[in-house]
Amino acid sequence: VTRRRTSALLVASTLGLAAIPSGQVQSASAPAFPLRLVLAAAPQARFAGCYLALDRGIYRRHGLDVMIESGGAGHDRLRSLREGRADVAVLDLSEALLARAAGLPLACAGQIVNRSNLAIVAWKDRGISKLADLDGRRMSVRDRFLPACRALVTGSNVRPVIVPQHDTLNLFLLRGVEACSVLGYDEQHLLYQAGVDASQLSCFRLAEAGIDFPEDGLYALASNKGRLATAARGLLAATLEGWQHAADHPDEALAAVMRRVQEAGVLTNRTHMRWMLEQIIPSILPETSGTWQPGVLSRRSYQAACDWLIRLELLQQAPPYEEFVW
Amino acid sequence: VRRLLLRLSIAPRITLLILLGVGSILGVVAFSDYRQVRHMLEEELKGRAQNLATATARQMEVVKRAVEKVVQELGVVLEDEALARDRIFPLLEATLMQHHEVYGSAVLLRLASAPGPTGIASIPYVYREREKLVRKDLAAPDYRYETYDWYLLPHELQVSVWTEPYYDEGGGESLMVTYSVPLFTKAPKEFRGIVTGDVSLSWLEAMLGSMELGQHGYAFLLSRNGSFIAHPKRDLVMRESIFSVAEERNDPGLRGLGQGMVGGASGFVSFQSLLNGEPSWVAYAPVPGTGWSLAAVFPQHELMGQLHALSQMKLLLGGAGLALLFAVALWIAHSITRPIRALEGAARSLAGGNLDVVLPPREGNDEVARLSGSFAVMQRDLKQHIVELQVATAERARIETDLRIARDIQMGLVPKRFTFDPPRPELDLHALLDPAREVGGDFYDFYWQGRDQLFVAVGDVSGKGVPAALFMALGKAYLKAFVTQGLDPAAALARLDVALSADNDAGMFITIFCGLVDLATGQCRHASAGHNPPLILRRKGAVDVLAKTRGGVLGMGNGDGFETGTLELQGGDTLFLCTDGVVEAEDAAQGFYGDERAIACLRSLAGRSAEEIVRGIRNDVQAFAGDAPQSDDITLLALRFQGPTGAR
Repeated sequence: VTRRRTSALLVASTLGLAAIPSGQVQSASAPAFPLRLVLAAAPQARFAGCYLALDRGIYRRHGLDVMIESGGAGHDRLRSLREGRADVAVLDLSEALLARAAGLPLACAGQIVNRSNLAIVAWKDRGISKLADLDGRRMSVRDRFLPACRALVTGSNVRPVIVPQHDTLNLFLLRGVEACSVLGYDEQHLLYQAGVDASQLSCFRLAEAGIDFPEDGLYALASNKGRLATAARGLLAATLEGWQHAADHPDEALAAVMRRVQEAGVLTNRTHMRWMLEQIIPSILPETSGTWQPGVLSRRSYQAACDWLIRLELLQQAPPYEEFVW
Repeated sequence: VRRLLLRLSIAPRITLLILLGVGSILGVVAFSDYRQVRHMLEEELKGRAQNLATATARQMEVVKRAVEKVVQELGVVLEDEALARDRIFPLLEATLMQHHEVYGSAVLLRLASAPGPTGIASIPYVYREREKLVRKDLAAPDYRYETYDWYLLPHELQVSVWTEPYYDEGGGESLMVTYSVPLFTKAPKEFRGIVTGDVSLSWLEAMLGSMELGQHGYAFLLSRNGSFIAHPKRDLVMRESIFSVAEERNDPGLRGLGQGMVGGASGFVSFQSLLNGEPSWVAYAPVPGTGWSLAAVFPQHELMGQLHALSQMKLLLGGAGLALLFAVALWIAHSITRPIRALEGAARSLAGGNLDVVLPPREGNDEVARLSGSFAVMQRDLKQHIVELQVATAERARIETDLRIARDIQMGLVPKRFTFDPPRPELDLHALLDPAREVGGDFYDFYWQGRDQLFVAVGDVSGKGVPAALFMALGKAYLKAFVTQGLDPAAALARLDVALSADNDAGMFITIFCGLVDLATGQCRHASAGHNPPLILRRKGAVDVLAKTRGGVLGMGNGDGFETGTLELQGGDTLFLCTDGVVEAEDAAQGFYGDERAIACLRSLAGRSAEEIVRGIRNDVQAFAGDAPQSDDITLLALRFQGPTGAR
């Protein structure tokens, strides 16, 4: 916790924001800057830092009046950004790069989840114990993870039959596919909660195979830089502060999450949310210093992701880092 | 406990021990009975519960089959003829009206004529909204049917599938499970579409709720993933699985149970209720063909209620029995110990000296009665013994009185006055007789023979006590008689021997030393009858042992072998006579006083008066003997010759 706190403060001071008392960021009398943030999914512990930043007035202290909107099935975040219904959206780096390639110039206002939690799990009893065993097997992959998973199979020179994966893992559980994509903090635990023991599965972490695409980041239209750059820096600093608070007070964070889960009628349970919280925090606030700078999309990660997308012919050329990152 | 028990008197102790013994036996019996009954009840419940779970699962299966049949029939109709879109809705509505278990039904058909890559122009869907049937087209862009399991699973698996429970947002707007049947073209076999039938979870829940599962029993239904499809605790449905609950409770046993359940096993195990955490039993059975598992939960208290009531009744009866036993045991113990108590009182009175106490009457012939008899005998013997003791004591007292008198008489027999009238300055004489018992066999004597001749004698009779005293009195009387006849010492002793040996059946004898001292000359004519020789303490402190003269003990009839010896006493010499009680006096270590010590002591008394010499020797003997009892009579006589009469 101490290391995390230290590193969070370090970043905040790097950004030149968090260390400045609220009064200096925005005078008390000045109206708060309204900011619409759309999350990547329905309420869950993955966004606990945002919830705490809102609930504890951290956004307000940074001069922001943040309105959080949940994402999820049926919510087209890119469209919301394009149509100006949202100022900032939570997107994966690959999603943002592909959107940019598709003609929606996005810029990164901060990187929250700074490493990949993605993994491929496969049934051991189907004889899959190493990546090469996936060759010719049916593997379901969520759209969002397609670039990373394609990078994995390309890099490993295996050719599984990729099947679309949506909101449930039932196709995998019914053995309709022999492997599927999971996030370590989410679907992998849902498998456990469906009675599948870890010992039944082979697990291939993409990060371990060198495919370490950063996940949740804060993205805005590049064209809004003038209007949003300052506010976005505040948003990032406040969100990281929210995450720091979540790390220090996990029970409070879990309560904030569960309140929103219940309000939105999300069909999940407290145990899963607790797991998710515990698992995602180390991807945001590194446990050892020097791993990454919290909140910052590193040039190296960015370049690596771009290289892969270019290699997969999903991207023609990498946008300049300075232009992509605010 | 033993100390506590020993502190109690017999009756409560017996009662307590009986109660403990019987109580322990009863406890063991009751416990074993409880376990047996509990086991029986559990076995019975197990059978009943499993039957119930299986029956309920069958009912579910019936519903499931009914739904499957409806959907399959729809599929058959749709495979046979290409229905126009406007005829599908009425078909679905007619189906739903006929089959109330079906909540909704959709038809997805791929048409070559349809625009777009999917070939799907519309997905007619009819579902129930309150009492009415509502039409919907699930091909609407905001529904994204391709993400739903009802589409994805049959499409990918190419078999009919029951989906996991889900919330059909934008469709049936309800929690439901869907049976999806894929349709294929005949030849070649190509995916043509999907027909579905929904069952709403609330309908399933109502159906499960209507099952008879006792007063507090309930049923729940798990999907093949372990998710709660139906549970009386609504929060669990769709949100939790049996595995998430196991994780929350950190209960690997529950996870194992869940894995067994979704694995299609049947069973009956104890279980912590998910409703209220109560200890319960759960019987579970698979719903065939669905991968679902049905569980019937029975709170243990409901079943155990009967057992507890039964146990309470048994406890009550057992308690009453023990109380009764206590009373009876106490009564019996008291009736057994009553004569003992009476006997104890009498014995205490007896011990206090009341020999006339009335002993409790003897009843029967048990140990107590025999003890009472023994006490009676003891009482009689004691009384007799005491009477005898009183007689014996009186007799002893009389004898003691006689002995005292005899002593006085004996003491009267020896002269006590050591001064003479007229005074005899040439002579200093002192003597002492100290019998070992009341009376003894020693004696000393002295009396005048003429004006200047003094006869002195010391004797010792064999044995001690009254016989010796009598023999001594006799001997002393005879001796005086013979001496006063003018016989010299040896002749007197010879006569005395003759006199004493006549009728001496007891075989007693006397040793005597006697001498006739002429105070005018200091000459002493002496004779001894087996007596230890006297000592002479010379004026200058030397001690001489008088040479022995012939002569045996008196009373044995040895005849006239007595010899008269002569001793010349100088002025200041002391003739010291004693009996063997002096030299044979014993100390605690049974050592003898002996001649040496006597001589040494005498030497130390040189120049002293006769009385001082006698007392000095006596005291030294006393000091030597210490606490050792005096074993023999002690007689001492000292005669100090101050010088011849003429010299003065």
